[in-house]
This record gives sequence, C-alpha cells and structure tokens, in this order.
Amino acid sequence: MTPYIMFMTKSFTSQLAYRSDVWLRLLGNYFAILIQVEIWRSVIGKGESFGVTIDQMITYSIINTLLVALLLHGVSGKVDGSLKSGSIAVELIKPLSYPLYLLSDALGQTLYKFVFTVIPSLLIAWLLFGMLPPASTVSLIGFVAALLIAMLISFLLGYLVSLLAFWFMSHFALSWTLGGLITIFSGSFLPIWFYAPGWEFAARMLPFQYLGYVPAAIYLGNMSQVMLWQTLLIGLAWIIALLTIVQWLWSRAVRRLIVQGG
Amino acid sequence: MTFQLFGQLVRLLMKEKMQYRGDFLLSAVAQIISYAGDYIVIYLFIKRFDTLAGWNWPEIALLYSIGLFTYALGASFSFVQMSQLEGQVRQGTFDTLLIKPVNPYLYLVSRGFNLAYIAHITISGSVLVWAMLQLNLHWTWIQYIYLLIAIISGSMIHAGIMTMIGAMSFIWVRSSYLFSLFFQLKNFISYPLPVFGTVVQLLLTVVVPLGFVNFYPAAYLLDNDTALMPAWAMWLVPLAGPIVYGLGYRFWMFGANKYQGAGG
Repeated sequence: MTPYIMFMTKSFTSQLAYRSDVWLRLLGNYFAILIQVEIWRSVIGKGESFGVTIDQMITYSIINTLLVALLLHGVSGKVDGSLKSGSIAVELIKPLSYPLYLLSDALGQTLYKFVFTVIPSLLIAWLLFGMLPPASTVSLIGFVAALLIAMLISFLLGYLVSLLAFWFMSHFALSWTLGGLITIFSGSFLPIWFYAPGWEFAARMLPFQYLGYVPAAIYLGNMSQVMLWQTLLIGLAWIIALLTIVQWLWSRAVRRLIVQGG
Repeated sequence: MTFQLFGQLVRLLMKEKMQYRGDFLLSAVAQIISYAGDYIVIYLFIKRFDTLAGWNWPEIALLYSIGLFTYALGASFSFVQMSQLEGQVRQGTFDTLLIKPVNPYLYLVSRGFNLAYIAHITISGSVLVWAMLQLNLHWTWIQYIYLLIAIISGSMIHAGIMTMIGAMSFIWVRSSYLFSLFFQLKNFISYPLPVFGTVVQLLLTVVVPLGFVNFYPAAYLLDNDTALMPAWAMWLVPLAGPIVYGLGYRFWMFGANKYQGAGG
C-alpha cells in the first residue's frame, strides 16, 4: 500500500507548484455557479416550481459545480500520453498494479483540488448564494457514500476509455464521446426529475447519473430512504460491472501493446 | 502572407489531415456528439420551463448556434495557435518564427489554421438553419446580410480575445489559465443576457464584449428585449469585431516586439 500513498503525496505536492492558479480557479467556479443560479432564479423566481424551491436548486448547482473537481475520468488523458510517448512500457515494468498507480496519482490531484479549490469555493458560494444543509443525517451519510461511488465510477469510465483506445487508437474521439454522454445523462445542470419521460428513463438506466444527479439529490433529501439505499446499491453494482469489464479488457490490451521506440 | 499562399497552405493541411482519414472522421463525429449533448440539455430545460427570459427553444437554438459557429470560425485561426504560444515562448522555439521573412502573426495564424473545427461548424450550422426555418422568419435581404456580417464580426471578437490572451505569453509566460477563464465567460453567452444581473451584462458588453457575438445581433433580429442597449446600438455589432480584432493584433505585435526569450 505504501508506494501508492507515496504516489498520491507526490502528485499532491507537484500540484502545489500551481498555487498561483487558485484565484483563477475560484473565479471560474464562481462564474459557473453564478450562471446556473441566475438561470434558476429566472425560471423559478423566489418561490418554487414543480415542487422544487430556488434554494434547493442553488444548492444543487453548487454541489454539481464543485463535484466536477472530484471526478477522475481525466485519467484517460494520462494513459493516452504514456501510450503516445511510449513511456507506458516503463510504467508496466514496475512491480506495481498499473490501475492502482493511476488511481493514486489521480487521487493526489483530486485531494489538492479539494483542499485548495473545493473548500474555498464552497465557503464563497455559501456566503454569496446561500446553501442548504443536508436534509438529514441519513442524507449526509448517503451523500458521502454517493461521492465515493461517483469517484470510483468516474475513474472506471475514464480507465475504460483509455483501454478502448488500445483498439480504436483514438483517445480524443473516445473521451469527447464520454464527455458528451456525461453532459446529457449526468443531470449535472438539469436535475433528472425535470427531464422529459423518455430521457429520464434512459438517464436512470445509465451509470452517468452517479456523476452529478445522484449525490446532489441525496444531499437534498429528494429520495425516500428505500430509494436511497436502492440507488447506492445499484451504484455498487455498476462499480462491480465496470471493474469486471475493465479487468477483462486490460488482460487483452496488454497483449496488444506494441511499443515502437519511445 | 498572401491569399494565394494561404490557399496553398490549406490544401497542404487538408492532405495532412486526410492521411489519418478514419481518425479525423471519428474525432469529428465525437465532437458532434459532445456538442449535441449541450443542445439536448438546453432543449430538455426549455421543454420543461417553456421559455428562458422570454426566449423559446428555436430562439435559444439560434442564439447558441451563432455563438458556437462564430467561436469555431474564430478559433480555427487562433485557439491552438495562441494556446501553444506559451510553450513555444518557454522553450524558445518561438524565435524561429521571428526570422521568417513574413509577418510573424499572419504566419503563426495561418500555419496553425485548424481544420478540426469542421465538427463545430457542421452541428452549429445545421442547427442554425433548422432554427431559422422553425422561426418562420419574414426577413428582408437586409436582415440576412446583417446576420452574415454579425457572424463575421462575432468570429473576429472570439479571435481577437484569444489573440490578446495568447499575447500574454510574451509578458507573463503563462496564459493557460486566462484561456480557461475565457471559456468560463463564454459559457454566459449560451443564454440570453437578460437572465443575468446588470454587472454581468455590463461585463459582457463593455469589458469582454462577448455579448456582441450572438446576443445583441440575435435580439435585434428576433425583436427580443435587448437588455442594456438601445435600438440604434444594433449598428455597433458590425464594428465590435474589427475593433476587438484590431486591438488584439496590435497588442500581439506589441508583445512580440518586446519578446526577449524566456531562457529555453
């Protein structure tokens, strides 16, 4: 376990070199939240609409904007870089699990973003826009569990894309497609309960809702207890399913790998 | 850099891209899927709430499409070129550009001319035409020409702002975070300006004039509420692009003249 913790600390400390960017990141998050808050204010006004209050929608927008910093599907870019430069050969020789190495590296960056961007942004957003507390203790516990599920699912999706790139040789196309699917089905801007029926059904059948809608809806207490546990269990099932696919693909991808120079 | 030379360059760039035809097409399809995602989310939003600040779905689709179309045109001449400048300045490879017997700005911009924006152009162009048909417009030829000029001017605004950000590489050596800030600001113009408060409207009209890219022209063409600006201001739209682009060019040349190399 120790080497992975070392990788994590290393990627955390290497991010510290970019401290001066923190202000711009905070401003960026502020803009992103402001856009959503103003849009919800203009359609909901001060009261409520379709059973949802403006305060709930503001909280939903803040959670989703900051959640992006915790998602890990960016790992596919790192694998792509190693594939193109050929350094993947060296990384595979090391007596390490490659996916765990990737995960710890990504977690280090996320930890950095959490400390230097998410927490200050949360404070700013709470002061400027107001944010509701979690609906109940159960919601809070469910929310934390949902965040972990979001991180794992996003990591596995990113890793899946990077493995598919062994066959398609076009990481760019795959990661843009993944991005599009996340935009449509995660509900990170428009909560899934506002979707038209057919779209809502599709979104609930896919894993992307765990990257936006699910954590925020649980936080707001928009799910009954039964539904909450059910949703979390299905999330776990998605993790297991993705893990199986990824393991299988990995065993075949390594055999396909040919490094040309590098 | 003459037009003839540029045409020659584009032909060569085409050949270069077509070397990996499958990859080029796959990437274009993926980008179309990704932007379709943005359209779908806005469509689902409007389907639930009917209008946003009085704009219905085809009107918002028109607004969004002008924004994306002009971004693609402007970015094909500036984004990759300007965002890579930072690295070239840091590594010292920018120097090779200065010894060529052509204007360094025109050379950089045309050499990097990016055909990859064909996906943006395809999807935003198609949705733009679809939205215009849906809206059942009774335009005279003046309005069509106005739209055309607005699109050219909007592209120049995008390119001008990105040129200015690129020029910051000469002064700060870093510019990538200004780019991400620009993209955050650009998100505002996906929606009608009156959605936002006066501060944001002023910001996007005076400081970073992205409002002139799509909101003001679309609002005049559709007779919608134009927020802060009076009716005669519609004639500022054709001026905004050349002004911003001209300023961007001057600033870039100023930066390049001050450029001393950053080690490398």
